[in-house]
Amino acid sequence: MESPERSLLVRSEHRMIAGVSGGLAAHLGIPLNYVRLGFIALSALGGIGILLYAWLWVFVPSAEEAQADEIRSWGTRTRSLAEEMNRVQQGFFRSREGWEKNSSWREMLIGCGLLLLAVLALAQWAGWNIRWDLIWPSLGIIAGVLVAWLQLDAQVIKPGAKKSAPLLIRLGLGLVLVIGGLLAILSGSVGVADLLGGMWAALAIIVGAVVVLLPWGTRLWRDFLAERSSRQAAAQRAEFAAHLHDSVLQTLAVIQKRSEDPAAVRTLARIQERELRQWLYGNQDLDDEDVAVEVQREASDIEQLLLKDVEVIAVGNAQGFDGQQALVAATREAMMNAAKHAPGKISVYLECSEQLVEVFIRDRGTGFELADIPEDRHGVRESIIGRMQRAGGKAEIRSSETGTEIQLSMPRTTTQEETHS
Amino acid sequence: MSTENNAKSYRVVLVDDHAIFRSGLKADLASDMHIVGEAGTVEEAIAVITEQKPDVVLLDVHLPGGRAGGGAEVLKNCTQLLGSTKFLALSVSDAAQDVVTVIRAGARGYVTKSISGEEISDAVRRVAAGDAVFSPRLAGFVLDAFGGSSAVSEIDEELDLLSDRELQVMRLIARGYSYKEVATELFISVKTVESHVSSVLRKLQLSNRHELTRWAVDRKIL
Repeated sequence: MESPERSLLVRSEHRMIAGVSGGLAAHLGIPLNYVRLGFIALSALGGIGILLYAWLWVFVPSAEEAQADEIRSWGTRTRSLAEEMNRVQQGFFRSREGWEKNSSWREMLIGCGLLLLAVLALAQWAGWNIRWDLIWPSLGIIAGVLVAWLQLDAQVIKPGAKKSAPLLIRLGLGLVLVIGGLLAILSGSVGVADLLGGMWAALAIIVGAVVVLLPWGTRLWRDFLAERSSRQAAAQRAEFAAHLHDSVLQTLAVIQKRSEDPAAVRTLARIQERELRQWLYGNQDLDDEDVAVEVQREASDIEQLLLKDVEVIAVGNAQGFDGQQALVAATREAMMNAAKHAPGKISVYLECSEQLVEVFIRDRGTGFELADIPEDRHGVRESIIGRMQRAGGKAEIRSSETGTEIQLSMPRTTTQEETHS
Repeated sequence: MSTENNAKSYRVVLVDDHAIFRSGLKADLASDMHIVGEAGTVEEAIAVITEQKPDVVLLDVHLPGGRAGGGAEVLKNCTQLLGSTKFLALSVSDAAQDVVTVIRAGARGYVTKSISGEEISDAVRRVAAGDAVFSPRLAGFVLDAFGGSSAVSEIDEELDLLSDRELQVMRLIARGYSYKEVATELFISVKTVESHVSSVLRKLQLSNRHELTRWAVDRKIL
């Protein structure tokens, strides 16, 4: 009964302990509670269920890991809105709902455990002989295993990053609980002196085993690292291919179709060039809200709208200053005017100094006189000069018959200013 | 273009790995440019340049062959010619890394491949005359690296600081002004503008300014 849409075996996010049962239930298509009952029944049979559970816990990837893998292979290709929505819905909403259901289950589990203890205590009070000396250490062992193993699902430690202290503490705590529990159980049947001797022997065996297995272990670890990095390289290659396909190849196809229209071909090539350049060499370290990035974005927008070349040179960067919005809007307006009225290329220069952000928009048109513009036209007077002044900045227009340059400057005053050099 | 064109012709070597671009550029260049050699790899370029000793080499930044050093490697292998042969870097990428590397290796200027044949011809004449050719983009990089007006203590060498005038010139070039327009704007002669630009180029090539290094490291150039 191999059904094609059988879901992958991953540990579920609806978890009580590690999500093994949930994952198994989803994979096999059996109700979750049956799987849980099955594990409990198997556990009663000499603990087989516990072993099986532990085995699956270690070797089955969690849903998050599988998702991360999927995202990596998904790459950066541009998605349609529908696809994006779909993913978001699957991701967020389901896990959230699962979490709420989860916590109530967890409380119930704890309650059951406490109830069991109470029943045992009652039984002892009633005169039954309960081996507390076995039960407490067993509980300790189970707690230790849980404490140590739950970190399997904590975030994957990045290579090179320091292991965080809580992780080490949990590991140590788990180790102490388990070893302490085991020793406590054994001390019931073995004498203390023998136990200590045995401990030394065990230690010797462990040291020997470590010495023998160390080279093998390190090789395994190195292989793992190599494999992981080659997988990353492959993912990166796939990302490149996807990007080139979606951008360059598509544009080339469109260019071939419209080859009899030189203006369109030129614009398409120019847009593609800018996009590709941004992708290859762009300032990946600049925030989206940076004024340099925003001006760049407006410029390419105008390029596409009016089929003009706009070259943006940015020196320095700044974001989060008070008049940023007004400055970017005025810059857009100035570029728009230049693109509409002047032939040739438009040069935009943006400079961010400590105190001031300046933008110069220069075109090679025939120039104009501010006084010649009719009163009812608001473009320059309102959208550029007025806007800048209201935001505390300045706008100047220098125009001659060889071109017009609009100079905008905005002081970088803010309550909290963010800069990174 | 006509002012400097006193019937002198220029011997030019074209170095670019794209044959299509080479033939397109040949067709575009002005008539006083004589292409005396072409090359598509680092080795070919070094061979052709040492054999022909041209006035100007139009050098693509990205080239196959050699030790994968591209245009900068060609420059490093032609240092003995740098006095007589001038190099003008061409690049399609406009990336800081490419531009600054070839300039520091000894190129006299840098232009983007998308500029017109006339502009390239003009740049060739300028470079052949011993001047530097700065595109707005390159001026932007220089301002980014040297600018910031951080007139703090540690600047001890003259090389490490652009003069106010040089900064002004760079800023105008970045704003898209031609040399002539810069000259008019600052009430100086075109010759003076050229000498300012050349001096900026020299500083860019020789400076070991702390900040230039850091700037380059930040952008993974060095």
